[in-house]
Amino acid sequence: MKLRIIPLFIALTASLSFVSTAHADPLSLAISPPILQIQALPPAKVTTFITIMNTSNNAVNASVQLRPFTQADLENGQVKFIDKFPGPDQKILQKVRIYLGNQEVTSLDLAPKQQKKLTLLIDIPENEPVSDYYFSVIFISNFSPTDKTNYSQAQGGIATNVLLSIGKGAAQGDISRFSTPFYVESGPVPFTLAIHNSGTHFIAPQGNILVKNMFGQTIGKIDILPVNVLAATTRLIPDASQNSSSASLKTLREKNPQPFIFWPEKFLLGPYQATANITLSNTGPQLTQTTYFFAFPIQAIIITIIILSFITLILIRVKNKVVL
Amino acid sequence: MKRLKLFFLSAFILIFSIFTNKALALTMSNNNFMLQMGNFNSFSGVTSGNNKNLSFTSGETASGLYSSGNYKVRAGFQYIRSIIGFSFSIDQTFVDFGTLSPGSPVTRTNNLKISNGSAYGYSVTAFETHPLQIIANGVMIPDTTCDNGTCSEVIASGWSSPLTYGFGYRCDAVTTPNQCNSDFNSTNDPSGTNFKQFANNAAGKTPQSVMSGSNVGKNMQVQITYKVNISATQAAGNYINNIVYVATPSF
Repeated sequence: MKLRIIPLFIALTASLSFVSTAHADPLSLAISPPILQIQALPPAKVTTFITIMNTSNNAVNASVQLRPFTQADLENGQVKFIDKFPGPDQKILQKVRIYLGNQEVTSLDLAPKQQKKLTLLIDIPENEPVSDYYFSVIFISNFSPTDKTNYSQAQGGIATNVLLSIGKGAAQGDISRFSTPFYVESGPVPFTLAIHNSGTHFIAPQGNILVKNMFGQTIGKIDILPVNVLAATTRLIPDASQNSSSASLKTLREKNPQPFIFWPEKFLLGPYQATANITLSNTGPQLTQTTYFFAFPIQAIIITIIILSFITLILIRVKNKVVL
Repeated sequence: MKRLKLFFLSAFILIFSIFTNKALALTMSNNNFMLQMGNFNSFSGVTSGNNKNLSFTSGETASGLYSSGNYKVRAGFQYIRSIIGFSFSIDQTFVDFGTLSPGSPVTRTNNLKISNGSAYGYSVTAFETHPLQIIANGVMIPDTTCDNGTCSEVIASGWSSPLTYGFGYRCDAVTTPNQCNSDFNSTNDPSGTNFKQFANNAAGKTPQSVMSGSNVGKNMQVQITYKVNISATQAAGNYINNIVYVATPSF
């Protein structure tokens, strides 16, 4: 009997482990991809895809909206919706259409757990001027009025961002800020790096920060994350260890929600030189900027002095007793 | 003498152990490259060296690069591979205030949840279609200006007096800290009584961020508290509005 129960128990446990987590939330949406980066030379009929999924157990009817955005004031890549584009073509959104199959849609129904793949079509005519346009494709749940008393109805929306770059243009920009605290006691050392894009198209700068010690040796290298910097904006650049499993870095990032570049080296002593080496695009330009900082582990030194003093005192007392 | 040597050795070991860092990451480097991994067991990391970069992550969705004719499309971020994706949920879409009594504030809550694995950052902006309003005749419960009369859709302030009327909200992080707007963090709101107005879309106000983050994460949750209080002169009726939350990944 015992032998029969064991395989039954194993089978039951295995089956339960494959049961997916049910979303009890009345509204739950997912979207992919989170961003579409499009570079087009007129004339062009751009076709790409967006997948929207209803991950709840309730049916959803969602309207589809397009809204221009720019970067939020925090310079961290978050979106701020605006009323109109700064670019020359204020009717650019009229050239953007969303299709489900062959049918253009402005709203769609999603059954529980259903996903739909939509086609985003952007028709760029030959005479379209060179410029960038940034907009979000937003899916917002519609609501059903009730006859209840005194209520607020929450509607949920989810968006994907489109960076549309029309025409050619050279990357232009500069390092607007590169700094670190002049004195640190120990690492990780935070660097602030901001890049200004003065060109007409969005860029994704690449590069690193090299750290040299007082002997001129390169002892640290931190790669930056190639995040997008929108035209005519400045963005704070994070480092490439954003998904590091280091607990100390995770804690630092939670305490400092603004993008920083962290050099994780902990024990530091003396003067250091950090140089940011940035390439704005595959064809340049290359930018460099240097900053300096000084590290002195004052707490560690004080503790060491105390311990050594204590040891010396014991030695003296032992020696005196031996002499006696 | 032997004892002294032993003592010195012990002291050295003690000092060394205090000030030696734990190696949380495996780092290998030479003059040409540096490999940095999250931990010994990780299956992802970034390598770089000699101007060549390679990023790798275990399994999951690849971001696509498509080109055709006169255009190129990159879908997703090349530097992120994750199965978490980007999703947003609201646990309660119907916020029922019930019958309102003058001078007796009513609070209700719902939770917003974000899973953000496909972008390093997100924000959830919110606006109200209009203040709580009787649709038939347009009579409104105005948005609160808080106890000191200063709060708006961009400024938060304390609201604890039962003689302060109106409608507003506050945000409290449930899981990951610092996900709510900084007006509600422990530095700016130590007593936890700050409230704000929702941006009034009918008045042309700009939607405001209520929740944001700059990292990847799963099931990051905040609680929104809605508060409404009416004066004795408030007209009787059914007051309703819509609160629209839009979750947008960072670019």
